[in-house]
Amino acid sequence: MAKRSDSLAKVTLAREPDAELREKISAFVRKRGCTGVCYTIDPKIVGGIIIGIGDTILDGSVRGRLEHIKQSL
Amino acid sequence: MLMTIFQSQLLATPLDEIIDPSSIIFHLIALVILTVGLYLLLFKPVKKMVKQRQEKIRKIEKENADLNEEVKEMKSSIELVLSDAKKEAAVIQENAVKVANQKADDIVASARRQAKSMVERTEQEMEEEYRKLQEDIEAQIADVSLAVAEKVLGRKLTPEDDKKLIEECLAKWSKE
Repeated sequence: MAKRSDSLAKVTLAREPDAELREKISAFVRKRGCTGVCYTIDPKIVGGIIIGIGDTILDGSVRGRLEHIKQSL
Repeated sequence: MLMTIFQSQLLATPLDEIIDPSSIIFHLIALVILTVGLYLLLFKPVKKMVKQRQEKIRKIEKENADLNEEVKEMKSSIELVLSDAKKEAAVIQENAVKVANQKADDIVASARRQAKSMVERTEQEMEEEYRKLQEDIEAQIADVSLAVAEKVLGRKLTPEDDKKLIEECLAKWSKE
């Protein structure tokens, strides 16, 4: 994947992450070429994580999975 | 009167005077003259008149016969015309009945087609409505299930579970 040295990864969580989790998330987005992370807390996603890097959205939220199940239904 | 006078003179005259040959000849001549006169003056005109009458009667009879013939011809002609008219009327009536029956059949067939079309359209509409209703119900079920799942998971998902879930996602995406 191409480096995104000037971009921030937009991370959405259901609750505030602890330091360990923040570190893991930062390490993940750095591997994807981002220089920093912008956190958003949204309880509506119930749980899990949503990471937006540029045009790419990685949805690992509980709500996203339920939406996927709903579409399957 | 004359006959009486004649008879009285005849009886008064002697028989030898009566049988006078000249008188007989005279009478014979008178008889002949009388006969000829009667023939010329009476019998011939009467005969002519009778002949004319007969001719006239024959003419009238001929006219009657001609008229009768003409009447017969007219009668037969009229009967022929009537017969033709009856035949034509029968044909017209038969054709009218056929046309009416055909129209009735067409109307019935058209009504049946329309009824069938209406039934099919109604069935299609019912199927469409049923399908839409089923989809709505399924969507509502999915929405309700999602809402229930969110509520249940929101309550039961502990911070540790959430952290574990996030770590699993990061590990999975790192492998891709």
